Amino acid sequence: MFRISGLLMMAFAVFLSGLLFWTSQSVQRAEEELAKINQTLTAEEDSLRVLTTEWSYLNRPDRLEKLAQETLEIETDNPKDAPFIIEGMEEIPEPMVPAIPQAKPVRYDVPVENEGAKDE
Amino acid sequence: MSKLSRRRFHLVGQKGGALEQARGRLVLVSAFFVFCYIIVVARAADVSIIQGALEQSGDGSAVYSTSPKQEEKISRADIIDRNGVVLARSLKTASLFVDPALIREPKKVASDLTKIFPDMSYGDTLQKLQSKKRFVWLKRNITPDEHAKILYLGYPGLNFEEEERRIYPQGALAVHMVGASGVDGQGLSGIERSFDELLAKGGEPLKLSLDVRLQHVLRREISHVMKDHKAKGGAGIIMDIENGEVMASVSLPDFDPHNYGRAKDKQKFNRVSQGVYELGSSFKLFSTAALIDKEKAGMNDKFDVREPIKYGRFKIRDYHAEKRIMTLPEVFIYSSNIGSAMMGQRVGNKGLQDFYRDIGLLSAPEFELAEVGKPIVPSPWGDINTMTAAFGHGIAVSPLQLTRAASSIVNGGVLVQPTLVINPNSIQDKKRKSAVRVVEAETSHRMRQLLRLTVTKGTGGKADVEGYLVGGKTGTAEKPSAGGYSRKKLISSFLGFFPMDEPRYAVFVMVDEPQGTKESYGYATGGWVGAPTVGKVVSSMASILGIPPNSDNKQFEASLVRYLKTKEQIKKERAVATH
Repeated sequence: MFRISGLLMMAFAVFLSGLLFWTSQSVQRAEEELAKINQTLTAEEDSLRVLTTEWSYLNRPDRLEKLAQETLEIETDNPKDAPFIIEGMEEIPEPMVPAIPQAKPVRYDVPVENEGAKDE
Repeated sequence: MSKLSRRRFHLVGQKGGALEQARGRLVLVSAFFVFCYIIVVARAADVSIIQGALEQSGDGSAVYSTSPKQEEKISRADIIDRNGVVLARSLKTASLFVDPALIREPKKVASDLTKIFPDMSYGDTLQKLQSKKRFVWLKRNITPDEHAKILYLGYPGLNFEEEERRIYPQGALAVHMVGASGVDGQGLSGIERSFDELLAKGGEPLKLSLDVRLQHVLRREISHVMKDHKAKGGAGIIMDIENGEVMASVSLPDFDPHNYGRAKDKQKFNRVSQGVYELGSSFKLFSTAALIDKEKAGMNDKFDVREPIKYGRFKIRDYHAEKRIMTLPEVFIYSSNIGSAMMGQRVGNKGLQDFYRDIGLLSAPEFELAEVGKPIVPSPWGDINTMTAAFGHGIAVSPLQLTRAASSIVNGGVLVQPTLVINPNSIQDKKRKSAVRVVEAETSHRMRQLLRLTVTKGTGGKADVEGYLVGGKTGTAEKPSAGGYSRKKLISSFLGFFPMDEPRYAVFVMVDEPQGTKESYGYATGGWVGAPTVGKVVSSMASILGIPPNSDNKQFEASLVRYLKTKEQIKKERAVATH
């Protein structure tokens, strides 16, 4: 009677301490994760603040005006001088995908083909 | 045998009891030590095996920060424009300081630092590095790139402190409204100053009624006209006449808010709200409105402007004397001083004063800036003051006051309150107006027609923009100087509204001391300087705000044209008069 109950008690105590240990471990991990997330969040927010400020800076009306004159040939913002007038949303063209030239892989270990051709 | 029975068995005699007690204590003490040992073992296993295994399975980056709320300082709140464009924001920057005691090779450190910061002098830096103090600032507010470079150098003794710096991405664009702040973040001028406490608390950004695009257009056109006419200064304002929101406000010359300390006083001066000027003929708008509203004057009322008015030592004359009898619309659109003085006389001293008080010309306006100027009003107010005030002389007000007063007449006759901060309620309730009526709706309609007529037939022709029904009034005033008025120094302005059949926006432009040019045939008046500038602003504004041109209502002012005499009629009249 005593042995069985004692053993059971012991086993229960071990189980409880194990559970406690596991809980404390997972809490610790969760806290660490939270701290990490918070840290990235703060860092992201900080960089977001810097980037949106820069966005505002780059979108200064005088700069946009200059760029429009240089690249879009829009001289003024006078509606009479506009090269085209967009009447509806459907007339707005799809954004163009900038053509990026495909870079040829550079290989240093083999001789370039053309040079080989010259030798022949 | 149960525990209970054994106990009972040993509990015999005193000796046995003491022995039992000692044994119990011994067991207790050893149990305690065993327990401690288990804890130590468990902890050792935790740290060495379990944590190690977890560390390896994770990404391995150590996390030092505790909860970020404790370390985060409250940043000063942002200021944004009506579309959410950032006008002012505080950013974290690093500032570099040195602990000279930890610097072992000052010469090398100094030469490396001057490579990163070319504006730092080598000698000065070297001196700072050998200072006896333990804390010396080397450079405040460095860029992240410079920060990384210094960290890469890896010298002990070079340390950083995080500081906040106020950044104005739009630069000088709206500097007189947004304002500037000091090194420690305190507001020095503009909204930064008047809302200093609110901004210092942080939180939600403060939304202004300004629109950077309109601000740019206004600033661009005023600086062009200033350059063309070699003017000393300029000011301009765009206001929504329905709710008084200031959408753009420019005062030139201006300054870079990042360098407030280096700005000169004349650059810091806000000509829109702080400066008060005798603005001249724009005031005819008020005297004419007073005459129509209070004296029920008709459009066919006649004013004999053949002779200048003499009053004591004063003489009121016309700039371009027409020397004939004029109707009310003619007096207005040809901007006759004599005619306007007569209008003032008809309204009377008290009548005109009361009217000017009602539309807010006699006291400083309520505005969200600390930089608000008080008008200069004649005191005591006699007959001559009524006559001159009727055409805008002898009374000095700020451009903000003028625009506000005229807007209150043109918008249907209800007083508007100029404001720079967006009221969140006004988004749902766009037509929110004060309940103070200053003129009747019919008077307001007549004034709209007269303003439009000034542009189609009168002095404001250069302000017209096809399809947008611009209306307005020119103003040319001589600046007061020692012993009277200076003929050469003018304040030329134009106050425009559009579209005139349903006016929504007021555009005011003022140029300080413009010079005549070849293109303007030597003229530097409101009609030559102010009006074309307002026209350009309106055409740009229309495309920015997406207001479609309207060609249906061209004859808005047609009913007044019959009160204007044609050239033939004038010739005939003159011929009759001379015979």
